[in-house]
Amino acid sequence: MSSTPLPAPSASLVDLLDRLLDRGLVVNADVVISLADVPLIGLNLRAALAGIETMLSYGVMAQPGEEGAARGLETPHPQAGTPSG
Amino acid sequence: MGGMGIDGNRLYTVAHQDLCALAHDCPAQPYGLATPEATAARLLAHHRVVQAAWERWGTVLPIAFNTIIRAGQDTSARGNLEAWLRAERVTLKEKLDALAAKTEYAVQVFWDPNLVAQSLASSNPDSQNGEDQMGALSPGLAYMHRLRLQRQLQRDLHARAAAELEHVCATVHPCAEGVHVGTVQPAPGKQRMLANLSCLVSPQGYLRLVAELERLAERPGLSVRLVGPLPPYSFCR
Repeated sequence: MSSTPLPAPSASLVDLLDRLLDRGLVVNADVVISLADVPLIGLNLRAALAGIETMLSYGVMAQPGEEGAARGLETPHPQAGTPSG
Repeated sequence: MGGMGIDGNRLYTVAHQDLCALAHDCPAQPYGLATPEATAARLLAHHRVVQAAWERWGTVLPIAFNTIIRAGQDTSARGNLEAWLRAERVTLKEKLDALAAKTEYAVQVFWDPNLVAQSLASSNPDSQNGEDQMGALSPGLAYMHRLRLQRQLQRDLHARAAAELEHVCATVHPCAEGVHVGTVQPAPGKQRMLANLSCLVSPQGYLRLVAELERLAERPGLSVRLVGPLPPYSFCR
């Protein structure tokens, strides 16, 4: 936190959580798979993600996604697609 | 952008006329609650794709995380995505046009209620007089009197919070093309989040916003956090 707003820092995981889960474009189509689990993810993860950020800031663990992302799932699953933007 | 998808999956484009969606293949079920680290990695992967597309193409409509399109009996998931682009083309084009050359910033305003309470108490003559009179009262009356002063201070604090919030909104609104008011989040230490706003701004609006926020941060007890630039997550519905 800063008493002056400049420079604009990068978004943290907590900053992104609401935007990724609760906002963004909604695809209103009957071919979209149910998203009933999403609020649960949001509720349960907020505290956990804050914990991860604290650990990252102290260098306790690697940045998620840079080394820890599972690369073993390269095989395409032709039955579904996830639009990303 | 190859393997930037969630869990390292390869991205591909699905196009219809002048619209293009970025997608990757995945199992036909929502991403559930894995470990926090794995879910964080997936959320970040989604964000990095949106961010990269935004930096490359300028205007994007970020789709909510965990949006998964399934195949039909006679149609592929990719075909269904293309059909959706075709059906929604006019609406999507309108949304993209509305977001052109605009950027989202998070504006978080914090205050320290204890600091403000001290300031209120010291500047309130009733409070000062009340403290002075306390010594002359019996213990029971002094307790009642202290309680009354505390309640008055709480009311003053709430009124100050409401006034500050109104001032923040009045400050930010003229600089932004759109403002989304989010729920306040926990803040570190003794600070409390007063406002959690998302602002959609033009390049000129950004300069005005920064100047106004710098002035805002000079108000006693307030601090401001400006986060961005971000893709317009909060303004594409």
